[in-house]
Amino acid sequence: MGTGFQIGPVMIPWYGFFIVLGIAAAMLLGYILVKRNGLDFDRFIQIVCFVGLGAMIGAKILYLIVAWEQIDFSRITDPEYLNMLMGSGFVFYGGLIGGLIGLTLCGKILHIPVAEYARLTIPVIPVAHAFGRIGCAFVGCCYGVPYSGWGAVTYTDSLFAPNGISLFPVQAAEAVLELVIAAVLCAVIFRAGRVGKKPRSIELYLVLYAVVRFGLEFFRYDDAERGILAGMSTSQWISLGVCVGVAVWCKRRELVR
Amino acid sequence: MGIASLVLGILSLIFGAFGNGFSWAGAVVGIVGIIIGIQAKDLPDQAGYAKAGFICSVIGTALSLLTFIACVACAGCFAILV
Repeated sequence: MGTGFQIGPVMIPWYGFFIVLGIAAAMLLGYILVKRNGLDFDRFIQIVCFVGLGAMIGAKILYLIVAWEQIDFSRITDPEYLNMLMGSGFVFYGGLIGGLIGLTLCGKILHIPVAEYARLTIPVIPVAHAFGRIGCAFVGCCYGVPYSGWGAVTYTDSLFAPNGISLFPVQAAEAVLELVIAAVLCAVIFRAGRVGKKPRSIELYLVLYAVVRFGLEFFRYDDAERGILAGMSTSQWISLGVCVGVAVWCKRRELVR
Repeated sequence: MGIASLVLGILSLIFGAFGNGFSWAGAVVGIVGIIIGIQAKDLPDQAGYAKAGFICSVIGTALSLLTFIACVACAGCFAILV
């Protein structure tokens, strides 16, 4: 499948295509959720923009900090070098922190009740994520363990996955499970709306994704990129931490009440 | 603000469609254009510019993201949790 497809003279990368498609699908779901809960879609778009911008800037800043010594500052005015520096190299935790800062700033600058919007529109995240994973399935990154059963995939010209080997379709599996998570979250939100309660959708999303991610990590084969510590991948340790963190948070909230 | 949104939207279209390596700038500029365009839609004398700026910014951002988000980001760092 390669890394993309051609439309005339233009090469469209698979991953970028599916991310943009995912954002469009997420915005469509966001529109439905916002309208159903009597919120303003324009404000939702602004929240998404602040979070996206914050995540991009945060991920880039943290990368520049950790790669400080490798950067050739004498070439910073060279457009090609600058584009290479800005267009590649991002750190997830920087993106996470930047996204949360963006969310906070959005609330403070535009006076939007971001917590309420986040609680009612959280299903858009697993929807966008599912499309991103489909992109991964097309290009072969985040590939699965060797496997020759139903649904196995064999890449022939991937830049990331080992070519010619039958692999478990872990990216497609995660995409399906993300859509299931989105459906569960929507059901919880709609039910809470009917009984007039605040849905605990954010906590539920964090736990559901952590459980899915913990399980699917056993089917991932790209250990070199992910890192392994004491027999578990970094993602599995983080998933455990997220579950513990949510449990502590919920318990504290109960005690305060 | 409406005119600012329109300018940013056009810039993001240019970066996205023709900017080659500058698609990262197109994405940033486009997103800011979307935010400002929505704010300016409520101002009666700027509504037209704001609407045009919003549309240009959305298209420019989408074009920029098409080429900006490559799987190197996926394999390198989103793989940790995303």
